[in-house]
Amino acid sequence: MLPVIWQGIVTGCLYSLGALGLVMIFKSSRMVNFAHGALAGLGAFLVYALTAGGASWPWTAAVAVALAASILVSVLVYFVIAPLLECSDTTATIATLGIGMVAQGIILWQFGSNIFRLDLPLPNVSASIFGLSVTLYDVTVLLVTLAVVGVLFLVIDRTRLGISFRAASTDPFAGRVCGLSITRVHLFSWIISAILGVIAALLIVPTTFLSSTTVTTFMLQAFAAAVIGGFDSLPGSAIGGILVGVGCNLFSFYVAPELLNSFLLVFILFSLSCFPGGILSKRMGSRV
Amino acid sequence: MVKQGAWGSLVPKSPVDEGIAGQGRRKFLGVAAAVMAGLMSVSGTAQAENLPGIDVANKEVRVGAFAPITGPVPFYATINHAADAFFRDLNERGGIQGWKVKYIVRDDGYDPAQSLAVTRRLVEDDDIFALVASNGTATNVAVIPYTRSKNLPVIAPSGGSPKIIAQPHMFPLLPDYALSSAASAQYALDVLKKQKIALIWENDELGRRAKFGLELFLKSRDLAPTVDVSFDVATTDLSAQIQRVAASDAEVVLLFGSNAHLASALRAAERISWKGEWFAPFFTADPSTYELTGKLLDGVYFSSWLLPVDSDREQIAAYRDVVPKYYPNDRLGVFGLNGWSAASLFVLAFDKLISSGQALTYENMIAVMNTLDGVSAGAADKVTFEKGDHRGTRQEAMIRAENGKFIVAQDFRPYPEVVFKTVAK
Amino acid sequence: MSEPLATPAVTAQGRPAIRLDERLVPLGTVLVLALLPAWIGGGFWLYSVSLLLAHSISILSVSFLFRFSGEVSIGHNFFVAVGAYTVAILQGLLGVPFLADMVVAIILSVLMGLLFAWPSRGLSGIYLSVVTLALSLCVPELLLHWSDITGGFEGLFLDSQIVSWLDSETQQYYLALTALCVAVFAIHRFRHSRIGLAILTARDHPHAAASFGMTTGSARLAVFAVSAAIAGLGGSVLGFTTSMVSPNSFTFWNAVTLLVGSVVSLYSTRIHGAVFGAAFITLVPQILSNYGQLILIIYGLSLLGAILLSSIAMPAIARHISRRKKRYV
Repeated sequence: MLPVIWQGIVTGCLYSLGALGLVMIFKSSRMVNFAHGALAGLGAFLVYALTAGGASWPWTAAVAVALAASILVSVLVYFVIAPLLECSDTTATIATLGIGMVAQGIILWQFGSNIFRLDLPLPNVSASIFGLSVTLYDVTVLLVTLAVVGVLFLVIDRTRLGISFRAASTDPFAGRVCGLSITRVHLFSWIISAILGVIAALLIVPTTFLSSTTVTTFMLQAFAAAVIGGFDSLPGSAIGGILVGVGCNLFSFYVAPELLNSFLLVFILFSLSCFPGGILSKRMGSRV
Repeated sequence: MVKQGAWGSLVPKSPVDEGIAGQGRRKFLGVAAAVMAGLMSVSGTAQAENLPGIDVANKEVRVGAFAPITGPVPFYATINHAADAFFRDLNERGGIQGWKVKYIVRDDGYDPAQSLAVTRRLVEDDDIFALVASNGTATNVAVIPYTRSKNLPVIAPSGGSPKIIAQPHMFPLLPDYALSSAASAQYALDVLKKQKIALIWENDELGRRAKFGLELFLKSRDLAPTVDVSFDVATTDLSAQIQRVAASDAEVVLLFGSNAHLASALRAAERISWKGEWFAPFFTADPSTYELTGKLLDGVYFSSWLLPVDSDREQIAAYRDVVPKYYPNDRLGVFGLNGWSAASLFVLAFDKLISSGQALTYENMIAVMNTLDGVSAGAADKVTFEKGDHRGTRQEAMIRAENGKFIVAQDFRPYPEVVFKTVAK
Repeated sequence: MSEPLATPAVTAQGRPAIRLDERLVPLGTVLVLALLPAWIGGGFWLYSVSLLLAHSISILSVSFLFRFSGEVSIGHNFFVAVGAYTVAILQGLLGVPFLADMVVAIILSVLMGLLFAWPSRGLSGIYLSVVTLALSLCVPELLLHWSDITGGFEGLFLDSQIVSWLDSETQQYYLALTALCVAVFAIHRFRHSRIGLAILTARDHPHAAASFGMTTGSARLAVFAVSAAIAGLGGSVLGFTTSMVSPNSFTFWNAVTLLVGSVVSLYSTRIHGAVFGAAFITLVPQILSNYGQLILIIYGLSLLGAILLSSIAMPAIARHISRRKKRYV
């Protein structure tokens, strides 16, 4: 049972990382970025192209370039979506679907439909702790997730930009009245989301391998994580991810792996009926 | 206060839509409707040919296929890329007795409803002579009624289903996966002398047929799989499944899934230090699998109707030379070899048809296909079709992965009879 | 975005009048569609339009849900699948004639809609949408689990003949067209009925509606039931049009496609809107079908273009024209 739970925790951290990127954008713009997976995948492909795929750059340089490129792309996408946000969040969300398709199409066009391996530059070390087989990759995933959540907390709690982010996400109108530049807040969240996406993709890909569809498919499960933890809450989506990871793994092992999605549906409905709005959501009163 | 839902402010505020937004909407829809009508009136009208798909004046034969270029499995389209490369190369070298082949591939998104639409378009608009390497199982099954009503030859559809094999106008090379799993089990029992066999199967057409074949074969030997665990196609982590296999005391595991699944399973097994014999489907016997697994792939067996990609047979060497010229992004591997063999099969049969001097019609093409006996098409050997029995491949070889290469561990031999005869109908 | 709300013109009976141009376009659309087979003749393009009409009904169900409850569903492939498989199974396994199957399919879809709407009635916005996403992902695995009746991955064939004196293709086309007209008409009557107005009030002014008996919970159940019914109708028509059902036609991406069609049609519950949305999702992929690896890029760009055009450019142009004509609507 313990190995199953441990594996679930590691996978769950990956879901959390994916969910965090989605929640960042949702909190600031109230829309869902369906292109998150595809754009993150594009970043991972860039790293692949620069390292294992031919150019043989050192890893840190490749990641830096991928991050910079992702940020640029993210900003570009934001400026395309911004006028639609004025109209309606759903329309903007569907527009991100179109962008996701374009990103996926670019991957297909440039790299074909093959599956590639992109491991982290870590030695393949594993240790046996409490009878569990723990690899360096597992530890890395855990540490990175904790670090990311920690840094996000610090940034959003302490920095000025973080505070304006919280203000704008709680009440955009009041934020505007106070002189906040909503565009700057949006850009902040989109940039952070892009960075989170690339980090998540680079950690996900050693498990799922890299192709035009793998990161996107993985992100669908991140949605479940985000919703259970609460789309309004960053720590919530982190916890939600772990719950989803562990729950799904336990179900796969002990019950029926071929009914996993049905289990996920029941799990989500159950969780949301106990904790409407997510486990760590902020309860707000209704206005009459 | 009006409810400001998270989903938007475009929700109309009153039951009756008025206002400028409503006007704009109506105008947009009107303009757009006109544009659509215009686009639709530009429907391609097929040239009225005497013989469908044949252009006698230009000595051109048109063939087509539907392929999942968009959708969940874009890498299946590698099959059609290879077939296209084969035809293009052939045309450059003079064609089939001077006849050039035009290959038209259309996307169907792996959705059977679209496959039907695409096939109708290929037959009625693009005017094809045959379908070659049409892609997918459910997709090929979906077009059975229509293609049967037209008596359209369907050459080497890439789908493994008994329904396809049973059609008089369809000539599949791809064997039923039940046969492959039975052949693998036979090798494990008779050659490796191991009886405790576990099955990990993908929850779709591939896996279900494999499960059927394995259970049937083992039952004929009074055995059963030690454990039988499935996984969803989209799963990326098979550690739970491997843990169940390890807990069941198995010595051999048959895994039926993609090469990514195989890689994940091998890694998971290594983590828990589980050792055993591995069998995987033929399309994972591919250099790209080595990329994903590294050394872990050494020693894995593959029951395959295709010779290995590294084989030095002339047709396979030609595949390795030609495809990268037209599709540099495609990796050389089993999918491509499949498509290459499909195209070879068509060319072989069409050549025979021309030589026979008969009219180039659908019926005659089907008749010629039914005369093929023990031919080799691309990387496939001893391909035989006869009226009433379209199980094209009758034999498989056992391939083993070793040090980055794939070698033939046991030469081609017929499938276990007990499973082979159930596939016939 | 503030839009000046006009006072609707009212007839003597107190019901809102529909202006001539509002009647003209829908009627014109129906007329064109009814005469289309004579112009096209048959074959692939006629089949494509039949498919288009079947998809229109499914798109209507998504648009209906959005218009009457403000909720977005990316799980309607579930209800469409219920409709399609019910007719296939009843006709194939039990030999029941198609029209009777369609009625059963609709009833079953309503039940499924209620079954889903009940536990999720307290959810809204993104939470509800993600639950519909989870619902959508279940469809293939459930269909494969009961392979014995659903035919597994290969699916089931259908017999597309209701009457014997007309050929299959024409029957498929006119059944789809009739079903679409029925659905649009039903929505129209629903919207102007008492329960329809009560539901719309529940959407906009929930507390006011609750005070006279229509709670958000009951509104949600009613809307989901009707939406699922329309989707079930769409599914049965889809099965009839394609003469087969298989799990690959009811995946998550099909649900997304329905939503795309709905958005492109601007959530229109009028016939011309639904047909336009369906045209985008049915015909554009056909037109692009042999562009190979560029298909996704072009489709994504055209989707973006359609959205930008319909949401920003067209209303801006309309505003500009109205201002120039100095017409205050």
